[in-house]
Amino acid sequence: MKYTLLKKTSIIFALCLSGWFLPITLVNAQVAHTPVVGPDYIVGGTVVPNESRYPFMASVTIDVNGTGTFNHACGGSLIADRWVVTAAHCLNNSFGNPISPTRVGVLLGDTDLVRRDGVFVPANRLILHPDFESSSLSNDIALIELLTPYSAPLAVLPATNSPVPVLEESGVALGWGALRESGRPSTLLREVSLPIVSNIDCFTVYRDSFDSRESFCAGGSRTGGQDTCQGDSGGPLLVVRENASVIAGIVSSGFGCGLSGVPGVYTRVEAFTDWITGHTQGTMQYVGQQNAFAADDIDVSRIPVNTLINGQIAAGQSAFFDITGAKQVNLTSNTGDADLYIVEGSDELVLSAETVLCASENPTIANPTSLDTCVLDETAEGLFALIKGVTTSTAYSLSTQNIEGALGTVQLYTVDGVPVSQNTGQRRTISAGVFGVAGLVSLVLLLVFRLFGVFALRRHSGQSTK
Amino acid sequence: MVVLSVLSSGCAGVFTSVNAEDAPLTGHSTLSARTSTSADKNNFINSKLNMPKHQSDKPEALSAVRFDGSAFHAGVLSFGCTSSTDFIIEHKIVDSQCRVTLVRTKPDLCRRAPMIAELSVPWSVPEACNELDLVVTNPVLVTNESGGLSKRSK
Repeated sequence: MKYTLLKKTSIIFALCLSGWFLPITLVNAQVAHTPVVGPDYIVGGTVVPNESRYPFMASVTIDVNGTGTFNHACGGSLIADRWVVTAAHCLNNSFGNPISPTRVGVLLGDTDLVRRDGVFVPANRLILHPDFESSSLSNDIALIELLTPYSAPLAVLPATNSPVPVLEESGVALGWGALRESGRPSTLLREVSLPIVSNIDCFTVYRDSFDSRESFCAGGSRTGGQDTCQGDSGGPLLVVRENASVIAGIVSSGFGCGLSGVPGVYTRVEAFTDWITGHTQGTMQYVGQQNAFAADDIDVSRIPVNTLINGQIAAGQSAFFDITGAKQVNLTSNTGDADLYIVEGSDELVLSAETVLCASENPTIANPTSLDTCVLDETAEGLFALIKGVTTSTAYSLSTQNIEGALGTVQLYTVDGVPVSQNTGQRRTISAGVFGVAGLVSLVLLLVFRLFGVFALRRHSGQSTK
Repeated sequence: MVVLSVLSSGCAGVFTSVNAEDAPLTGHSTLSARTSTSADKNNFINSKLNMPKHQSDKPEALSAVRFDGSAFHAGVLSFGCTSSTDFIIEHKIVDSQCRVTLVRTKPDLCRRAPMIAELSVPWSVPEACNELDLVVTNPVLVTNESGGLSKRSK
């Protein structure tokens, strides 16, 4: 039997840190700072030419010491004339508690933090998501109510469950953040185009904290060099829908900046639109075609218990198998290296620390091994094995080939209670899962599958509890 | 050596800071108080992704270090997701000194502009250190004239 994992989406639309603090002093506007100019801007981005390009972009500034000097801390987006959305971790003080609104102000209508031709608007109220956790960065979203309204074209919110973003599109991230990890900030607003990354690829990098319901990843190309960085938090990752800039994500976190194969993590705004509009008035929303499927779909093959299959998977690729009923799963990498994850799911498949019952990863260079094993203590309604090809192979002689996408061989056993020492079941060839199928193709496949009674999993649907 | 602060009455001796590279703590065993495995996890992730060594591999740069007899208090660089629980304290006796290092066990992956986070990490003086000078081996975090931050080894 064949399964398909589906996701709602649209088929139509797709420190040496000196100089970090660029103070805005309310009493004395003088700034003692020399603009930084260099070749490696905001990790691969470019300078935004003028404020009219992204008129909703905000610099969230904080008066850390209560001296009246407000320093850039994060980005933000104007979503209504009195409201700016940003990341929750931007508004915590050094003790992890929310900052007083009197210590927060927003600079709007400006791209140059030194020249500062924009308008500084003090905050009236800060609203952090009530379920924000700084340790896991879950629900990393917050609202700033401005003391006075500011009139400008607004950033558009995605409606709940709207197809924003979709795989295989790119978003534009904005910010004044560092030009490289622990590097100097940008005094000029910069933008960088980043491809949206599949939840599986994101999960395998950030599996301890990632939750596909509330966040997604972008960037992380093999060559690296394009990313957001420290100082960019809170800023938007935008996608274009019907000529409007829709906030798909909010810059949140990431390993380093611009590292090869390491994407950044963004708060999935669509999951919080209901929460946002519960506090604000005057926002704009993109609805899209909410009952469409596509882009992130993958094929899931059913593997009965006591079955051995052989397959091949390329470095960096992933494959999903339905192994419901299995008690133990062994993944043997005959050449190269792959990792094994067991995910619990039913009608909805969520990738998060809660749904992943087992993760078997082995360092490929320091401690080579060819066997990944997961023993499952509980019987779930649905169990899925995710195999992820590892970029760097255990076979040193194959490392170059693997970086180029050379194939390694994997064997997947499913065992009903008793570990196997030899092949005990049906054997067939399984190919690696294919990702990024175009939306229209997926919709056609969905219809075909349903005609033949194929069970469909719909991920990331029906959740609007934020 | 740079004197950072004087210990409170709860502990005897001079409270100093030395370059951490002079007193590496890796590999010591009997007196180590290290219990967390998060740093190991980070190292694993780094090797898995071919990433450069993360900040957690090095002793954290500190400012305004103080020990009140029951906890270390210090300022560290934060990008928005640093808390006291992200640190453990290791100690090692070398040359009649009790050398203490605050070790970050969980990296701060947030992307806020840097600020100083105030830590308070509980720690009681081990019996073996009772009569010894306490020496903090972490590098010093320096605030420059414009309010910016930089890391210095000493």
